[in-house]
Amino acid sequence: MQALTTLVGHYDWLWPLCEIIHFMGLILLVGTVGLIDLRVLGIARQLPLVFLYRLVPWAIFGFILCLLTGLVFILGDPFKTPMDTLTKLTFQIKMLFVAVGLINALIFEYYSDFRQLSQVEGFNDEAPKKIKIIAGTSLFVWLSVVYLGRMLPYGDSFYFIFYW
Amino acid sequence: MEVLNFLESTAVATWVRESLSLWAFPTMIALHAIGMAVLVGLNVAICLLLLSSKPRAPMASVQTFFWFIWLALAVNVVSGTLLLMANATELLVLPVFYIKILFVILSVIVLLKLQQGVATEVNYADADLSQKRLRILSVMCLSTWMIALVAGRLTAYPMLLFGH
Repeated sequence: MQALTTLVGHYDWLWPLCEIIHFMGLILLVGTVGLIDLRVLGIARQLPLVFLYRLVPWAIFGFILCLLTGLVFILGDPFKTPMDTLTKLTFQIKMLFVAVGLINALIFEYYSDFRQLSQVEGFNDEAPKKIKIIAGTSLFVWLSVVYLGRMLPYGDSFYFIFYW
Repeated sequence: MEVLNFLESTAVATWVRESLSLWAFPTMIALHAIGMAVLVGLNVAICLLLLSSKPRAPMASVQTFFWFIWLALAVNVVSGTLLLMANATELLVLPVFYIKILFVILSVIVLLKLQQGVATEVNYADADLSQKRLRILSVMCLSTWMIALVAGRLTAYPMLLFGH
């Protein structure tokens, strides 16, 4: 952990590079998952879901990029200890949302008949209500993760929410 | 420089820059991040779909997703303008900022071409030619967004590019 901090401190470009990769990861994750969610919610009904499922590996790749660079931000910050970040309320809520997003995706992937049914080419049925709730939750959760992540540098500023 | 000082001294720019409210700078920057995730994310996902579709997906139906992309672009233009006004004297003197804007404009032009290409895909007599054209546009779109993203992040690190 000390080696990582030293490395980040020594190479000025390492931190911005990790930020760029983190952004690319979130773009891949939000874009691909968002496209599938919107389709499940009823947008572009003529497009069979089976085509969109090809994007899932990109979503996983995006998540891995975010996870690895996120670890650099927590463990390698030369100006903060990991505890500084881990004890931030904004960070904790963000991680809670990430966990909800992952569990939500796993439920869709492994515990829904709809996922299996829509695997067939030409399947264009409307998604049942519970599946639409999963897709809506996914959209809300991942966009909230982006929001909370961007708010991290501003501390736990929720206290200012009613201050204009 | 006088123009930049004037922009920064306007009431709205002062509010965005100096207010302690969560709705000021933090919300503008968060909206910009969410807008970017939706705009670039959906765009990248559509490009990856176009590049991966074998056998071909009925791509004309993805047109509906472009409404979300244009909405996100509008959010980013508004939030970006406010953020720029708030820090005009810092941002508008950075060459990398102009590179970002140039590549955002290029990305939007390619995006428009892509939307037109997808919309007219069904009318093309030569399907292979249409697909090849869409694939070239997809690669262009991915490249221009990537450069815009890198340049955008580097605006926060001017010392990295121009020395201390």
